[in-house]
Amino acid sequence: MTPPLAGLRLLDLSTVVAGPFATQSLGHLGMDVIRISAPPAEAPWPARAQGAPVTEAEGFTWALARDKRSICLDLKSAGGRDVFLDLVRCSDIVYDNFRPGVMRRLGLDHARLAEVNPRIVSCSISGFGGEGPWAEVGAYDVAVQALGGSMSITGTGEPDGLPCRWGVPVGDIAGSLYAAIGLLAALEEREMTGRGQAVEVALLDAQLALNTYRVPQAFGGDIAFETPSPRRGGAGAVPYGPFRCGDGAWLVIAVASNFWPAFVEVMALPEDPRFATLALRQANQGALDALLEVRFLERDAADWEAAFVARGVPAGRVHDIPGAFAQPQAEARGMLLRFAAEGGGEVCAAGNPIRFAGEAMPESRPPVPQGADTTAVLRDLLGYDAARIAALRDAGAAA
Amino acid sequence: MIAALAGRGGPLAGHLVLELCGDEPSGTFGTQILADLGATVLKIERPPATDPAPTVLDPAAPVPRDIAYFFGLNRNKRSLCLDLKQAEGRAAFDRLLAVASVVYDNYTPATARRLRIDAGSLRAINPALICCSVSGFGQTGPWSTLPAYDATVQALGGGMSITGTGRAEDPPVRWGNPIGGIGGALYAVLGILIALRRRRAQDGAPGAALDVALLDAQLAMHAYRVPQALGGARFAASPHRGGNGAMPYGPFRTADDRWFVLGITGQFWSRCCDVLGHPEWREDARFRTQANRQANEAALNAAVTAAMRRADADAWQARFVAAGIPGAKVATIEEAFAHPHVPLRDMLVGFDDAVGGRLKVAGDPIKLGAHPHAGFRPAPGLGADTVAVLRDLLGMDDAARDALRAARAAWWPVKGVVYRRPSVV
Repeated sequence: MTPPLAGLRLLDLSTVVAGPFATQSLGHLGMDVIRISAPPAEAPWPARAQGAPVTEAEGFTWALARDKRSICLDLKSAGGRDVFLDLVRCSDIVYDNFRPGVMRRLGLDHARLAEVNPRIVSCSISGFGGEGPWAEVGAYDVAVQALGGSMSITGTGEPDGLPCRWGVPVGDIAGSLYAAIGLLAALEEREMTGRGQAVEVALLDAQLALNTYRVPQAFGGDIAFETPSPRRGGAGAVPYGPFRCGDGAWLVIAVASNFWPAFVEVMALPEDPRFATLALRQANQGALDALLEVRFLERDAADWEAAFVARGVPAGRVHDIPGAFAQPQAEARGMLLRFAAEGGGEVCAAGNPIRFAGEAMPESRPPVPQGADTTAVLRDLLGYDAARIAALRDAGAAA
Repeated sequence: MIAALAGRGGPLAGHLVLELCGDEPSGTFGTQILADLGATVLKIERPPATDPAPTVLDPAAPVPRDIAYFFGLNRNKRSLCLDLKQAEGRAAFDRLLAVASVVYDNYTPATARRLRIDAGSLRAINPALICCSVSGFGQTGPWSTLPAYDATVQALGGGMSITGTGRAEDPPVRWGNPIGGIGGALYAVLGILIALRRRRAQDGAPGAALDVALLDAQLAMHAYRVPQALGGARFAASPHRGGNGAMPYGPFRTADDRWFVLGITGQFWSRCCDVLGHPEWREDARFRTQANRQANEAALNAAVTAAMRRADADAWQARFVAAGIPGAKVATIEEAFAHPHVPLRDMLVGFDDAVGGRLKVAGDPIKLGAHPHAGFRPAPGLGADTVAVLRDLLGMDDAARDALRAARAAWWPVKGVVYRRPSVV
């Protein structure tokens, strides 16, 4: 089977999370993603002892650098830059998350790249975009989440309660997903026009966009979203949110009106006119939540979940990350990938949620140390001979 | 013909997307991204039982919540009212399938099969179609029959276990935005574009049946935490400690009782001391290195709390921006759009339309060199584009269209614009 993105090549200059997150998925689906890092090259990784804890650095590498090749080039040197431009000639996408202005200073902005290859799509991710008073401000996930507005609606909802960020770095991840969407759309247009274009995504913009329906509700609907409402659904569903169960674990419920009769049966609630309609449940939410808080303590979270699932009522335990991957549905979907690391250890990572039903998808390939593919790429892709490669290495332009 | 019905120009011009979705962002948000990119997105909606009255807004009152909601997820789209359960309605739909690139649904697999809009049924009609089904738990596995709600997906996905105040007695917290649905929608759009690319680039490549599960998307977004979490590390909500142990970190109260978050990684600490007005902290043995700060977390947070109380949030914001280090006021959604970059980047967009003119929506975060912002088309009224679609895409004459409408197999308003949908939140 030919992977869906076979034949496309992306030069990945990005680092940390906002860049590499999405290019990993593209690499998995067949794009030739070449990470380009500054020298020096990494030494081959030592074998992992069986059972040794996975370090943070290893976590990043195994999650974000899989399905990619890796070369080391010094883009600040003339030699390294020339190699890079040779790569641009035979690539489809250049992808970076440098601060604004860095690509221009390197002489690698879209206009310059398009001179070398008019079909190139360049995709840049930054915190706040290339212009304006914040252009040079470093973006950090927690700051992007705060500025985007979502922290003001995330928390326990208690007066004086701490605003919370989503524990997942959605500031970075959303920007990365939008960038991947944008570059693929630009590739589609290139089929018509024969020309690439510049795609640009700011992390703040992505956060603003994820406020979706609340934006017109705030601007025109005059609804002030000033506090989190953890016990009420977006459509006003009640009861809703996390309840502590007998074993101390939390169960989240979301009882839209159509599920209320089945919910009442599972909970064995007495008939109560105060809760007969959604409007009444909203009006008497305090009494209802208090009643449920006691009732949920009677059984363990897993029992409650099973009872609701049997009746098709949406409910879910608050899993920790290992628990989330261990639930039967996640196992059935094959969302946990296990890699044998050199030395006999095992490293796990999340699978790709993009599934082509009825088709076998490629196996995910483990990450390689930085610079592991420098010789192969320069020789096989660019046709450099051994002497030229050695000279580049000697000059520190490649490693 | 297809491109002429697009809501705006863009790289996906000429692609027809049929949206068969409920109101939830797992569907409508994904198709909105495709519409923003220039695809012609047709919402296929059920004809109303009786003719609804045109929507007339009270000019003195805010725009109703449901209409605002609808604009937030449906700009740049078109609406076609077609009853798929009637043979004539279904026949028109099948003819649209022949010219469509994408069909996007967000029903449970069983419901999609019952409506005969599952990938198998649709690709029997047009094998080149890209059918994208977004569901809570996917097409396979023991939970595939179950409906999902954003909160339950966030719980099951593990995100809630690392979100909250971090105090043992406090409940876990979901992200206030419905990332369960949104996450699935973003992956769905990515999958659609990948499948389109394959269809175009590989000779004889068929369409595809994409199977996107909201739960899978939640799991995938844990990214770099997965190898560690499955390799022995434990993660919990840690509102005052950043990803790589950054500290000081998280929300602190300001003089005006607002919250201001810090995210001070090692390289920013020295400048942070100056901004906070305590250059002496640089040499303070308790705070000098990140390891020192972590070891003396309580003392550090107490000191930073006291310092942050000395100025208002906006004053801190100006100082942190000037210093170029990460710190940010916790903005409400309305305040978030007051950021100076929002107008520079067209991130708050109004409409030229009686109803839409009173609303604003978030702009498109994907900025394309070949497509400078040229405004958004308002969200469509119910059935507003039925006539144009039947006439221009299917070549139906007046008589054929009127017959469909008389049978309620298709519908459009004779007068005015109807924004109220029976099912919209």
